[in-house]
Amino acid sequence: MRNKFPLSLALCASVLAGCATLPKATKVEDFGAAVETGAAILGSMATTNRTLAFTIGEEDQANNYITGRNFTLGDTPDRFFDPARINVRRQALSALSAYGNALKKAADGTAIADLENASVRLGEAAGKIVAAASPVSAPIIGPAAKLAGRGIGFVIGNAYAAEIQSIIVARDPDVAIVVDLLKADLAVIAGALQLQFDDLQIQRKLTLVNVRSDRRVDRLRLYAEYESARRELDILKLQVAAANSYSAVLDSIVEAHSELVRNEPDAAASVARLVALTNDLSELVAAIRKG
Amino acid sequence: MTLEEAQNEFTAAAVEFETLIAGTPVPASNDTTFWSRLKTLAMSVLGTVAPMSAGLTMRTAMQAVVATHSVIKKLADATGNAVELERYARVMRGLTAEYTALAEKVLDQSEAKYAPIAERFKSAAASLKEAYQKAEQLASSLNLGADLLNAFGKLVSVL
Repeated sequence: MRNKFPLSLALCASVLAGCATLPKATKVEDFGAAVETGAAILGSMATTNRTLAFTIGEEDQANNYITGRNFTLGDTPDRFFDPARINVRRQALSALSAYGNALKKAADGTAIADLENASVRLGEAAGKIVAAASPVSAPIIGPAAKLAGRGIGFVIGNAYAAEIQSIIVARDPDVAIVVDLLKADLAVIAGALQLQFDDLQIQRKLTLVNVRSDRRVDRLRLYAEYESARRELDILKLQVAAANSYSAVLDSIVEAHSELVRNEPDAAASVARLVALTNDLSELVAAIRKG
Repeated sequence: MTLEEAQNEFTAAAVEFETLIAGTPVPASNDTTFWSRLKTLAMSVLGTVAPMSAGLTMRTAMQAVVATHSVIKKLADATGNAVELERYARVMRGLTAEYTALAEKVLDQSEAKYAPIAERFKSAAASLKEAYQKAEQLASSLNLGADLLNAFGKLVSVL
């Protein structure tokens, strides 16, 4: 009987070997966060594009005003990207985000734990019935049925994890494709932001030159105007620079999904299963000894 | 968009740019230097790009617009003359609008590729939800089975 423990452990190890496991929660969250950041960058690009277009138009009207020409207090924005074109990209990222959210729920481990626990409960209940019907062999039936229930639970849990993993693997090429498309498109949009920023810089410079041409404006006022223009442009410059980080953000989406595909075994989950199985086997061995 | 259409777009953009330059009012007095510089620049850009137009794509057309914009920006940085600055600013903004128009055509070319991928992600999300629901349903059925067997076991032990 003493030799049965190492044998049991070997059995446990063999049952657990090749187990399909769900991706780690932190990795699923990393993927979700990367997608959210990608969506935020796209949103920020669209907003900056629009803001710059309106600000340039406003600056143009201000110039008209201070130089004695006709002007308007209404909006006269320069051309900016059609929101419908931005929305197509946003919808693709939304679909990716919805996939990430579904993955988060499916891979949180609750489903597998529920299946395994329910299977063990069923095994125990079946054991009690058999034990009640045949009192002679009662001591080992309970632990044996529990062990069988846990084994079945593992098999069902594995099947579930394998199904989730197969969905992740199947979508991996699509993640790479959509990210490549977005990188190419966002590069085009980012190019426009830089041009718009240059336009605003020159338009603002024109305003400063026109203000300076009035000899009644003292140097202190001129200095304040210059500083004000610099601060305004600095804020927009930061927004343009932030939008230009799209490439690294999109790369992180591909990287985070590849991590899910690789799905390195979750040591904690495997150990927990091994402990549960070992406990059941110990109960069975103890029952056999008593018998 | 076909290559031919792209070339037509570029030709139209080039003509528009040329018209923009030509349509800029002739300077009144002291900025002939500016005018000649701008005209020389425009002619040099168009002269460089025009022979390549047969092989131009939308993206190279955009690069030409960006290059032109960049040169004019440098000229604008180098002057403090309001009349010159105003003209540079107008040309730069015209070029940015042209870039945006070309960029929208480029975005249109890739637009159709997004829909099928988005659909596949939606379908994957639905499959994940379904798998999760099935697992929960199975666990619930197993628990129900255990409850029934426990109840039956009590009955057997009484008998």
